[in-house]
Amino acid sequence: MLLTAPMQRDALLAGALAGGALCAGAIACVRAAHAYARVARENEQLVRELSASRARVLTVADHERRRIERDLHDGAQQRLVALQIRLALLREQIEPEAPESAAALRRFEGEIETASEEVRALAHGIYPPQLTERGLAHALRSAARGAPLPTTVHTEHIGRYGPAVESTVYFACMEALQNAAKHAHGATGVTIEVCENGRLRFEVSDDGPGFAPREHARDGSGLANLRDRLAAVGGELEIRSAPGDGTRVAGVIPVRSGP
Amino acid sequence: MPHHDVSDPGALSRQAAGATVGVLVVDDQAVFRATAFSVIEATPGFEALGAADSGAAALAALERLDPALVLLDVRMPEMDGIETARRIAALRPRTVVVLISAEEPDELETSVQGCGAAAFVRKRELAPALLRRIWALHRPLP
Repeated sequence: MLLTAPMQRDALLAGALAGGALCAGAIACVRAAHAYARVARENEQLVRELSASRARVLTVADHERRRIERDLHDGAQQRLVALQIRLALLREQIEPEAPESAAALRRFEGEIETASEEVRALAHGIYPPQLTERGLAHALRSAARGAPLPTTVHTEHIGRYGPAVESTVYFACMEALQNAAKHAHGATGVTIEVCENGRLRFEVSDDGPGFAPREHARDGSGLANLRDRLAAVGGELEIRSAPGDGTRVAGVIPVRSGP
Repeated sequence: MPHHDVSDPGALSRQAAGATVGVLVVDDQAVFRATAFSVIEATPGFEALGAADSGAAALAALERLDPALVLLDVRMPEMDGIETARRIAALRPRTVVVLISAEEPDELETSVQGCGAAAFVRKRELAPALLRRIWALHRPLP
């Protein structure tokens, strides 16, 4: 017979009382056990709701990042490039007659190029277009080329995944790369490995001095954000390090291939 | 919505006579299409035949405008420049396709190779001298 929880409790109590088998203390225990069970069920429900809420926040945040990147690319960046080209055309026209003015224009072109490069770098930091257009492996290789430490990327059986999963792995690797550049003094390089076998695994390792995890029991805000981000897509983060043995930031996310 | 316009109706006949290199500009950004037109107009021997704001519009314009050279933006919604270049190469192998992008070439390297484009240039480098150099290097043999 299928009984709901309160009915189960009442039936148990009624049965026990009818048989005269339970004393008042035992009845209190049954009631307390039932109350704990109810709290546990409510907790499970809250955890599920929190997890779903985190995933929604992540999706909205990524959508906004992509929109801002596109706006910068389609707006400011295109206008700056167009302005630079038009200035160069003007310079070529006036150069024979007014070389000094042409030299001034060339300086302006340089400043516009710097501004354009800054906008491009800002846009890529917000959300790299390669991630949307070409996927995780391509975006990681592109980022590795501009990384502060020499960085090698190995990928195996990597396909396309949902935007939340791809962006989570990408930004986790970027955070680990930045941490290596900031804290792994003397490191000669970083390796990023990503593979999939039903679960998408990534590991970012450096050959720096490492640290004693017990002395750094609390995550910095960057790592705490990473843990939250991975949890939002059902993943987990692990950080392994020891003095003299470098640092490894690893994560695993359950996935299904296909965007 | 597909878009293409012919800036100079006489350009088609001049290109047919072999006097000029007819160019089609493909970019989803109007500001860059206008800028590319300015560069082409400042390049003796080159004519801006028209512009398209998408890969699909570019393919539709090919037959009518018969450009010798296509300046093709890499990053466009729906059909991107790389896929458009592949299709142009299949449809009209003698048309010289030059990919242009605001991105750095190393960010596109693997996908650019093998798509049928003759060259890749950064948008900011687009200039009359560059157009002439590209044409001298890649124009189809008679």
